[in-house]
Amino acid sequence: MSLYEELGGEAAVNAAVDIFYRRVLSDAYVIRFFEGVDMEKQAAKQKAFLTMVFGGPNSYTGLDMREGHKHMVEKMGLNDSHFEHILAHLRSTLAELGVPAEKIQEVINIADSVRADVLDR
Amino acid sequence: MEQQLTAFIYPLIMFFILGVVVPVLLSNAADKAHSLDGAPEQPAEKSLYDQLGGEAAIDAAVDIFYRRVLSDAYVKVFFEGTDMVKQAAKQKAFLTMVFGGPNNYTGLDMREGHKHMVEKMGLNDSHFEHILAHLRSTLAELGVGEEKVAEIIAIADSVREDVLNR
Repeated sequence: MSLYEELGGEAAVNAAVDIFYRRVLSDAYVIRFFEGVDMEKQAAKQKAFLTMVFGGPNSYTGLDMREGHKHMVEKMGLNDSHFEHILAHLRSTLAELGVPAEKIQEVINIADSVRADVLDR
Repeated sequence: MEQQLTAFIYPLIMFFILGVVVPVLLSNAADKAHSLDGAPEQPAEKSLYDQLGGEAAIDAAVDIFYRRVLSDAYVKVFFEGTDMVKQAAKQKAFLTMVFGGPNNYTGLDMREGHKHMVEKMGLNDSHFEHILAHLRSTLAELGVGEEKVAEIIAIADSVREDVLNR
């Protein structure tokens, strides 16, 4: 069984998107990066991101991730500390959904693999 | 000839003195007076704790921080079954320390207080990162600027080895 199937597939991703998004938007340290963004497009992106980190079918490209965050790195000071907040919200979301610690670690490892792209390094 | 030259030069000198030298002297004197009787331009370096608002800021921070930590399913397990009144006092002591305020923090206390969580509950860096994240979020919610947040986080991060018993 793939990690994605173990976690519950698309239904689990949908549940996770809701919790994850609520957490991120109630975090004053990172909320400024989401101000003025189109929320429908953003929800689709979050779903694609969570599908990817859950090990599901995805069309993720490092280049997209790099291009999509470049202006935040250059103009808004996006750095490792903000990335750590996103990882933390992801762990909290998975814990809330009852995912055990070892599986959370697998998901986090996938998410952490995009750090250099997001931070344009 | 000599008289003509004098008649020409003296007015020029007077013009120079009245038009350039006096205004410059007056403006320097005004600046000096301003910086003497007004508030000093660079106030004496206030401690980080005082800059943040002292004990009142700590109390506000404890409330937000604690609410955030307890609504985080990833770290909540470490607070289950703890005496909440004692815990609130500990959080206040911890935040006073990271705010650079008067504290009686000892690395040994921190080490002893978390040892059983490291040994029996798997407390590790990822949980420590969550606490740092909640601290950043709390400070941002209180309107503390990112450079000050980074200063506070550096102090908090300095206890990592003690907390994780390394």
